[in-house]
Order: sequence, then structure tokens, then C-alpha cells
Amino acid sequence: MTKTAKTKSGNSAVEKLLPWYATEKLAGSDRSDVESALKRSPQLRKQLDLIREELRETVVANEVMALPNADATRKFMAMIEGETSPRVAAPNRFEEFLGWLGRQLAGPPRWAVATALLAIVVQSALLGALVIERPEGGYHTASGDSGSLPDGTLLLARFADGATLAELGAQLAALDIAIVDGPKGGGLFTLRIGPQGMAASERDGKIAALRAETGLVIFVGPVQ
Amino acid sequence: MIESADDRALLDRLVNQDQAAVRLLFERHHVKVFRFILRLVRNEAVAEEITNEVFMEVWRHAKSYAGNAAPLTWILSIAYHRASSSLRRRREEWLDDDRANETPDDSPGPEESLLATDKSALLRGCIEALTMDQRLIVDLVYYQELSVAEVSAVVGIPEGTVKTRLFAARKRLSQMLLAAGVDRGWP
Repeated sequence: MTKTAKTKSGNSAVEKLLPWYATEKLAGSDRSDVESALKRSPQLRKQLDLIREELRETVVANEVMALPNADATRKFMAMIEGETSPRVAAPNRFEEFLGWLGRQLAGPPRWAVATALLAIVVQSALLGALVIERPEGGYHTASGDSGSLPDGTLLLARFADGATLAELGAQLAALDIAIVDGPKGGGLFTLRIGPQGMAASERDGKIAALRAETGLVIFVGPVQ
Repeated sequence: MIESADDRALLDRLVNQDQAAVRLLFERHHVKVFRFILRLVRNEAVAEEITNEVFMEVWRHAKSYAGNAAPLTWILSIAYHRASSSLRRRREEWLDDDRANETPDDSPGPEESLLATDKSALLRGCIEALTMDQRLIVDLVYYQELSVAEVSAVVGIPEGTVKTRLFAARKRLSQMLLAAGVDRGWP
């Protein structure tokens, strides 16, 4: 930028550069043009004073803005750490369960162990998603923490390996049944049926209806 | 200049996944980047999330830093594009041309008038009352201290438009102040 021609409104190109002169971001011919014009023009010097006021108050207006959270650096570095470090986390409860399961099945031929593992892992994953009721104190999930069992009649059940998440979810919800624990040895799950004061006839009807779903349920029995 | 040179050295170290370098870069610039984004998105939680995304992008793509702009300019460019995308997603379109041409009131709002007990406070109220596009340029020049070329690179507008937009913003400030009873004698 070297020209200082006046615009129609009387503003020169130099005027437009004054803010960058004030922030010392001009160099070369732009800078020398502005300095020459400032020497000649008291109006430009007055304008430069106004710009310095604007600059100062803009900085103040920004400095009073909110700051990021005090632990912003820690959070960001955790993101960096998560991206760069291969996860060597301690095995979670589900992985512990798989380890336990592998040990329990350590006798049969390998293909049988693998098949059983696969079936139960798939089932566990499905059923974990079905535990929708998590009051304070916590219900068990298929692989979750233990906690107090809720009110209501408790049942033991084993689901068919081929049962799908959608089918199980729909059927259990229709019967007002929730999974509250499991899987235990033998692929058994603890279920809760209705509230504690449910009439015996209603409870028996729901149990019978669940047993009738032979494509979904292999076994349903009372908790001993 | 020294800071810029230091930043370049830090970016070089990022190429080798140097976590200490990215930490230094983050600590040095994240407040300014956060405030720049906050000015655009007007939501602290969103601004913080985008700030992290910006520095993650710097971390991941340090290799692609061309080196012809100052590192902070590059970082602010990423921030501007991230914030703009976020706004588009939320269908807040005050960065588009219609909004850019929007003319604010000639005077600060009643709150600013009441609170403006001195000229400095009044001037800050007027700065806040600029259009978003004008305010963006004012911040980039006065607060972030970017050159004409750097503002042009961050916002993606020609250098001539940068100068014209700031000039218009300054004239608007004088008009608002005049309406509030303060004659600056310019323009």
C-alpha cells in the first residue's frame, strides 16, 4: 500500500491503515507513508489518539470476558493422552467375567469353549443394554457393579442364545419384567417381576407368559 | 516476533508428537482462542469444546502447517472455521451477508447508557453494539493484534475488505458516541 489518495468521503488510504500503525503491525512503505502523513496532518494525529482509545477499550472488553475453566489444560491434555497412548487399562468387569468364563470352560474342546464364549458374550452384551431401571444403589447389569436388589418377586432365567435384543426387550417390557443381575454361572440372570405387592395370580400369569416364549427363554424359576 | 518464532518451534515439535510442546502451545494461547470463539458462539460450554477441538486439530495436523502465516494466525483460522461450522449447524446465521449488512442502532442500549458513567465505559458499550462482523475485525486487530494480511487469512476476506470493514466500524463507533452525547470530532 503506497497510495494516499483521498477517497470521495475525504478518507485516505492512510486513515484505513492507522489501526495497524497503532498496533505496530505495519512495515515497509505502508509504515513510512503513515508516518509521513502523521507529520503533516494534525487531524490524522487526532484520529490516531482515538484509535488508541478504541484499542485500549477493546482489550478491556475482551479481558473482562469469561475465562476457560481452571482445569482446561488438564482436560485438553487428557484428550491428547487418550489419543496418543494405546489403552492398557485394567480389565473391566466384563473382561473379568470373560476370563472367569474361560476358566470355567477350560475342560471341553477348544471349539466348544469358543462357541460357548461367543454365545454368552453376545447374550451378555444384549442383555446389558436391556437393564433400563437403575435406581440409586444400582441394579446389576450383565457386567456391572453389584447393589441391593429391588422390591418385587425375583426369578432366575436363562435366555435362548438366538434371542435378539429387540425381541427380549419388547417381551420383558410387556410383562413388566426387568433384568437386575447376571449373568451368573450357567448363563442365569436374575429378573424382577412387578412390584412386591403384586397379586399372586397376576405374577403367575406373567411367569407363565414368559415361559411360553420358548424361542426366547430356556428356563424360568423362582429364586431360592 | 520472538513469540511467533517460539510458536513455530513448538509446532515443529508437535510433528514428533511432543506432548510438552502442545501443552505449552495450549497454555500460551487457549485463553485468547477461547475468547475469540466465545465472541462468535456466545456459549461458554460450546466455546470450550471448540477450543479443545481446535488444539486437537493443531496436534493432529501440525505437519500441514505451511509456515507462511504466524502460528497464532493459523490457529485462529481453524478456530474461526470451527466456530462458523458450529453456528451453521445450530442455524444461527448472523455471520452471513445479511447479518453483515445489518445496521445496528445508532446508540448503545439503555443498559449501556445507564451504566456508562464515563467515556471509557461508553466506548466499550459502543464496541459491544457493533455488528458481529465489525466486532470480529475490531477484536482481531485490536485484541489479537493481527496484521491486515493475517485478518484476511483468518476470516477469508480480501485485505481491502478488512481495511474497509474496520474503517466502517470506527465510523460507526463515532456515530454511536455522538448519539450518546460524546462528540469525538471525527469523522
